[in-house]
Amino acid sequence: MSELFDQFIVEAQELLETAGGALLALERDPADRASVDELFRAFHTLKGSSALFDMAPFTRLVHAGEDTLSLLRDGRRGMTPDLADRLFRALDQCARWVAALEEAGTLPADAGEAAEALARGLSGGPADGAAAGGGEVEAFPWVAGLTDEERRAAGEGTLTAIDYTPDPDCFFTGDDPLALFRRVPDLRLLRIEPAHPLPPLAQMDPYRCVLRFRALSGAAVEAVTPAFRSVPDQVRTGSVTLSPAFTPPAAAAQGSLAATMLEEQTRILDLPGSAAERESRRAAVARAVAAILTALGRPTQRAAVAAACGDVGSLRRFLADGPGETPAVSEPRPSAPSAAPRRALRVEPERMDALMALVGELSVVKGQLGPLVRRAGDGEMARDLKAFAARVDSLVGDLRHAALRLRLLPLARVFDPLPRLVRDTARRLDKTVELVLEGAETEADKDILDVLGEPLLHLVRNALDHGIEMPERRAAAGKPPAGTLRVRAFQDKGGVVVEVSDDGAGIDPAAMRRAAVAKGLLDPDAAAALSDADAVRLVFAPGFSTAGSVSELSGRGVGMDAVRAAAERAGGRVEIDSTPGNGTRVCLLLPLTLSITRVVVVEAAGSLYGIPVALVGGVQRVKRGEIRAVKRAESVVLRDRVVPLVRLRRLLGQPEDERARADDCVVLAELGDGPVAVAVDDVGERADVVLRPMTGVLRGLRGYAGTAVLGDGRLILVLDLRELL
Amino acid sequence: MTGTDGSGPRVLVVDDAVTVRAFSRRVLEADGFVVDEAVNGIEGLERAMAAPPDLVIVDVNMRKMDGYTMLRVLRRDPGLRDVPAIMISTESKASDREQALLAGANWYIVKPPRPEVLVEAARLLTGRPLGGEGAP
Repeated sequence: MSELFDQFIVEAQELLETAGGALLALERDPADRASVDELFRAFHTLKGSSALFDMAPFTRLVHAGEDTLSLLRDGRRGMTPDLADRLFRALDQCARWVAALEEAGTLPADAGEAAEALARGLSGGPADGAAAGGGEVEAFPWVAGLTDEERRAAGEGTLTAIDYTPDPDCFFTGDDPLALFRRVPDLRLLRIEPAHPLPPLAQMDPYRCVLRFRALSGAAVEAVTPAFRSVPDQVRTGSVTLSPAFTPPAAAAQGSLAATMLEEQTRILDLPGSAAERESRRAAVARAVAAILTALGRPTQRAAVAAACGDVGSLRRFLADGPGETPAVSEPRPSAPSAAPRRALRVEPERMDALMALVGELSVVKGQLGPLVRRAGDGEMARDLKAFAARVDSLVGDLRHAALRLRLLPLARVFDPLPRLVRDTARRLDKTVELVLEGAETEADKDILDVLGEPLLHLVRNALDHGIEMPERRAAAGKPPAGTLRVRAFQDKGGVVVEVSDDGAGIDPAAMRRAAVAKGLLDPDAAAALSDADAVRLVFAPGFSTAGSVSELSGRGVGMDAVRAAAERAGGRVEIDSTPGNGTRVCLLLPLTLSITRVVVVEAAGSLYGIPVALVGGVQRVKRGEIRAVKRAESVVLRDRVVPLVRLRRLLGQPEDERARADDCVVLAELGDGPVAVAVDDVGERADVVLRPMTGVLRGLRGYAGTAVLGDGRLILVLDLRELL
Repeated sequence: MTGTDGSGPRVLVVDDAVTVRAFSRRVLEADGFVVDEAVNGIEGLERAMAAPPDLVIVDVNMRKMDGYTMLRVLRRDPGLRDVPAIMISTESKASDREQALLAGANWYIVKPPRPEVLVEAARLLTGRPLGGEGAP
């Protein structure tokens, strides 16, 4: 049944996700009927499906959820934030259990208790009698989590529950836990479980008792306690009442099902309804009765049965008399092919990577066709070669696109946790926040999604924590009391952009300058020289935003340097802009995939280098006269900003460019700390390359991200500008 | 009512829970039935009309169209109104059973069904001999 179990895991995950979404919607709008229904159905389906397996606590909890939703649906109970919390907790617990089931195949040992506690929380009172029974069941929550089998073994009525967690040193004090239970009268159930998760075998001390014992006895409490006289401090007893075990109604003997079913058909004839309804029921009953009789080896003519189905009395008589012997014949029906459900194909990541690498190599090899065609000249063969090259070119392009698409997933995957995160965080902070998600359908490589998830949560949490103000402060500032948090994704320049913006307090550049000085990161003059934009960008400086006080000053929280680092590791970058009083916008700019890097090819001292496009803010020529030199440090004004200028030749330890030139070619590199103008000899094309990390003796070389081969076969070194600068 | 081509009676399982559908399919196919699936009442009716089954097994609570509605529509359709129907639900109350029969079910089974119970009920309602292997 493991395939069925796997199916359950997938279904449960989907349902829990649906339920989470519906609950969020419902909390926002308690009158939302569709969401109530959705949520109810999710619990209901989980109940039905989980009951197919031995996971009573799971079923118990989702059953309680279903009951709660049923009350909500009928208007007998109202939605409150508190109830939403409880439902969320129940869903979270289920999600953890599903994870445990997927991992280990069983629920954790404490599931019964957890289910009971959460279910009680949902009903807002003691556990309902139908499932748990009365007495002191609450003191023994595991009793409610008994499996049907255990429940049948225990029997019904008032029992004595025993909880015994022996002292770990009990073997030295002469107690024998198991022997104690042998003295318990009318022991109906004994469960021996680890008291705590078991340590690894190597760390297990066989001389210590790591178990706990739970038992049910049919005897009264007074009759049970003497058995545990020697260990009163380690034992708890109490009486519990168990309702009858649920027995499937048709556990009855073979053959009697047919009798019951026939009796039921008779009864159906008597049910109220319109003439048309009764007529069609009669037809269904006639066919069912004929089938049942055939199955019992008493084939009957359909017409005879149909005639007998006129009323209850005649059917009773017909069944009692025993029908005739003519076998019923029916046309064999061709069976329609059943539609196979659409299934996603799972592929090992390594195979995917191998395919991508091959496609990358193929792109490179394809590039070498171009120069070949040019060399071939003008002949007929050259023309054919050219046509052939064009065809290969377009096919390789399509192939690359198709291979890339295989790895693309919608950003919805990283957006999905956000509504819940925002809801929980806002509630914890007593803030009202409207989350707007846009572009969840935007696609990116799975690698990129993996990189994106964590920083995105971070940015959202920060915006809620430090960006959006308390409702009173917002009202005082003339803003609507509810803050708006917008998360927007879109594709841009062959990459994916995720933008997190809020309409909160924004970041005060003056406060940032003061904090930078106070933390000793900048001296007062350097701080004063920073533009406002650069001052705001200080949040990305390592070590800047670690103190709690900074968040109050800056309106931004902890760990922005981690966000920046994650973006950069993925070959992307992060941008921020903020208007005090109006809010903050943080942009993550990431490549579409990690497998192929798009670079700008530049030349310096006769060699070619690549700079990842994600880091390039622009390319332009600057007149020599516009470059200002203070001592050896040069700078240039670009887009109204003073940008430090570095020369690639110098960075690489190459001789200065001796040629007399009127202007310099400059690549504007957007690094986390602000832009840097990199002067190069020349700027070439943009190219997609498969980046190969440095290996062997070159591995220790700093400043290079790796090597790559251009389409025409030329080798380039891809620069790691951050390391170089 | 077993097909002469060696295929067993056709059972249409209508349930929105994929696990329950898979369970029923597994259990019934193992006993020689040919199983078709639908995820709600509308799809169930569509499938039934496209190829009338020998038995429908219908869940109660489904989106778009629930099991009660599906059975009522089924019973009004001249070509399908006598198709035996089992309603299957997590509810064990007598009133739920009554409602199922009123809607047109011939039999009512509480979820989760035990495999042998499901098989026996399916055999009875499709006229297959009890015990022994399926096809005669």
